[in-house]
Amino acid sequence: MDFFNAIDTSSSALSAQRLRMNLISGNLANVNTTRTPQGGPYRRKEAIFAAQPVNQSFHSLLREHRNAQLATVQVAQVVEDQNPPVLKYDPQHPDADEKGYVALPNINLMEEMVNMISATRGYEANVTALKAAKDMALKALEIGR
Amino acid sequence: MQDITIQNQIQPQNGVISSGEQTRHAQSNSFGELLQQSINQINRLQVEADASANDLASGRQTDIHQTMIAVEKAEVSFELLMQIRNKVISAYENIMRTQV
Repeated sequence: MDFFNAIDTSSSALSAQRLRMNLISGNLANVNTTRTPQGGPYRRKEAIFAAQPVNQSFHSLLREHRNAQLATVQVAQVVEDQNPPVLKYDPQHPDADEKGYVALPNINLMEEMVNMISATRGYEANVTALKAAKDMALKALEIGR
Repeated sequence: MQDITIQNQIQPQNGVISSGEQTRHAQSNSFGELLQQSINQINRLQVEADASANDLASGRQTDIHQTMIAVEKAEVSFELLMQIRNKVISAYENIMRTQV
């Protein structure tokens, strides 16, 4: 059904924003992490979004060519920040190097907060779009009443 | 003898007509079949919503919004079914009220 296309598109965006939110939470939780399974301090993670054409039958594409423009969003990959870690002088720390410097993750708290607001608002916007699509369908059903 | 030949000529024609009718019938499904298909699809959405709620409760699925969306889809399609049912029943009642 055509009406479900809009809902599915919003649904993909909700999933994408949720994953982004999870990554931001991880970044905030690991602000002071100096040990990771890969070795070295934690590196800030970020989601890269990619547009994905909507899965549709050939028949509906042929009937309405404009449907080909519809695109959902998908998380293409999660990239790690390649900026060098912040060095802090702390000779008492067990992870300090021979000069007494500890490598801490290069995470800016303000930046993460702004990204978090952006993810929350993005999620809200997509919920609103979803509600609007549903209200349109219900309004159409009111024609018969 | 002549009758038989005429019969033989008519017979294949009949066959052609009936097969033509069959193909036309297969192309345009009856209203009942369409209704049955729609009800099956709506039922599938209801079952999906139910399974999604189960998955969320048992922790197999962690996306709350996907469960909510499945429930919403089921609700809207069920609403459509109810509207169609109301229309069919009101048409039936109108016919039953016909003065004889």
